[in-house]
Amino acid sequence: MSGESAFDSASAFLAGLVFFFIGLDGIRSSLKGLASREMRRRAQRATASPLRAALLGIGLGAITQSATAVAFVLGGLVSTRFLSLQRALTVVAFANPGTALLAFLAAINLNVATLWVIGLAGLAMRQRRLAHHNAVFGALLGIGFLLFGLVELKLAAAPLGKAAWFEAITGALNASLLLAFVVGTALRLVIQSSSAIAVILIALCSKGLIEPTQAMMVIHGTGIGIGLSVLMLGQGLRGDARRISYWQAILNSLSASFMGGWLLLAWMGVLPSIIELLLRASLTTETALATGFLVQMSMGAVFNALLSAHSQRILLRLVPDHAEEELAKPEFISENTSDSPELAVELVRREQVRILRAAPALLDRARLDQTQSTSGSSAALRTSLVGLHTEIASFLAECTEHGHAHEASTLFVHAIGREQVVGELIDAIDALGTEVSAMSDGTSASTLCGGLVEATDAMLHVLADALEGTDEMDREILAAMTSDRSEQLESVRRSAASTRFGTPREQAATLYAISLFERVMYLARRLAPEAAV
Amino acid sequence: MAVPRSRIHSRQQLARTIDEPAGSSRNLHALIHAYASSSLIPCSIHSYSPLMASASNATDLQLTHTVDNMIAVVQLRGHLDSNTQIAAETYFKMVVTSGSARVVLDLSQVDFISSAGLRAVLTLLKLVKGSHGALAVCASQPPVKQLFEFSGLKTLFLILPTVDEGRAALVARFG
Repeated sequence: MSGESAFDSASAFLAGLVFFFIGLDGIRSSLKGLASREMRRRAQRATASPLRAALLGIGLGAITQSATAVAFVLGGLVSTRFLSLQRALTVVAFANPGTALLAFLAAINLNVATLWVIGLAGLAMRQRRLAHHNAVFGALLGIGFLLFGLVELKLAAAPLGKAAWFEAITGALNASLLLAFVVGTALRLVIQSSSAIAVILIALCSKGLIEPTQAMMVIHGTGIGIGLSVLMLGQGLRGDARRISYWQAILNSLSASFMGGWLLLAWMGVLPSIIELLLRASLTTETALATGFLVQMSMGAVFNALLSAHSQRILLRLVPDHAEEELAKPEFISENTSDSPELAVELVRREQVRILRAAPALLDRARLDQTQSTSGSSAALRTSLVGLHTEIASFLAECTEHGHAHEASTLFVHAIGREQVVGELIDAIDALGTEVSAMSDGTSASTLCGGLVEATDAMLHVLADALEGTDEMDREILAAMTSDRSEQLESVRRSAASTRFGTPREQAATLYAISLFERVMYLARRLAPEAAV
Repeated sequence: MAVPRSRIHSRQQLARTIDEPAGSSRNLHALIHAYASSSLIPCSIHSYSPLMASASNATDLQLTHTVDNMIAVVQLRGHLDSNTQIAAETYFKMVVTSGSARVVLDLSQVDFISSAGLRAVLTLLKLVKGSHGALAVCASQPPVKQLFEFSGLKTLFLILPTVDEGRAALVARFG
């Protein structure tokens, strides 16, 4: 292989990979645009039975071409209670065979079809009349790019076999099945797409650059790579989303170990190998490898079926629940309650009380009363509070879609407004906690702002009491605590601005903290029961 | 170790039990409950030994009260925070349910009040208002006074510089 042709191959290979990943990203980002409440509701209906869940999994795997991506998308759906964990585990298990579709596409000539998909989807996206379908055409264009990348990869792989370095690598792979397995794991960690690796291997195998058995072992190794990749990418996840990523890792690792072990036994002459059986069935090498890949990915679904009775117990042991995760899940509202306006608004009020009961803990890091401090993370708590707030807001938005009478609509409009205030209150409390916790201990600024934090904490508790109960005294206390005290706070501002107070930075931080305190007070006043309709 | 109520037979025994060091807050809570519920404290009682509301050195709170002319002066000494909130609220309940709905809260010996302490004071306010009484918070140290100011509670109860002024204000209101 001459230097020039090697350079051409490498260029085509690189461009093919880039087109492939641009296509993959395009599909994902376009799907995000489609992720409306309606689409999510359809997803929920689509998993009403295990069979539907399996079909959805295959479909998602085929479209996204990434078992990892499916795991993370489902994590979001389960976290927002659109899917049950059990159903999501089934979807994840069947997403794996779905990804194998690409390997079959690689085994056929896609050139012309690919160009048509790119051309038509691209032209459709330029039509203003079709603008509201842009997400769909964007996904199609992504598929086109992805397929075009595959074509380029196949073309680039052809001359590689003549290169001495490549012969050395494939020679090493051909000499050791274990090395092939490890290379598969490593490749999956780098390339992040088992189907892409399978496609590359099919291309190499079709040119006779690698033995089918070794190629199959590399494919088996990708299963461990999926597991490691999902675990690494899912480090920041919590709760059910983390459980789903663990399940994906478990299923793929089991499949890889099973299939790799089988191939090793076949190599030792104990059993016939899958690839031998497929080749004996008169399949071409490409189709045999694609089928072998499909078998490997389908093993995940088999293991899922075998372990389904114990899956939740295993996952709960691996990933126990945290208080923050429980908080993020609505306790009262559900789709069934959105038909009755009075009931819906009452249940929303109860969810809001849950937020207000938990929100003061955002101030713990800034408290003067350190005996009150909790060990939980403020960021995790904030995420949970915002998550619950988003759930409530979505629920109310859905309630308004039901076409209620004028009075009921007014009720919902006010409830939506109040929920917006709750969201702003979470932001203001968090900002106050962050600002004051950054101050040095023992300074005038930290003492003054610590007092503001303690007063805010007490105010929030009273607000929750007033919203939850019917005690008139709570309302009276809340009214006093949230009354306009601009004159008093102006005087505090003046003293904070004096040169004796502290450094300019401390002064600025104190003035900001006072503003935040005033904002919390104002928002709490807006949430007071008297302000409700 | 919690002290069962049945073991408390006399004021002297109760006082000895209270003075025992390092009891758990649950134990102290039980003691306060026992004290408040026992027949050892008639409404006419004018004063008694300090009651430790928390065993932690850093956050000790001692509570005492005297009743004179239908006005209870409750003196607190130490920290009023989340460690001592429950104990303080229990004590306040005992004072008000024993017949003193006009309360002067002497905070001259309190160097720190947290939001939990503030809520304990609000509990006392609810108790006295529920019994048609009134509350005067007196002699607060500057940080404590500042917290009351930030909380905007001036309109709900009297905040006065001295206990005598607090007592005089309640006498003037109720005669």
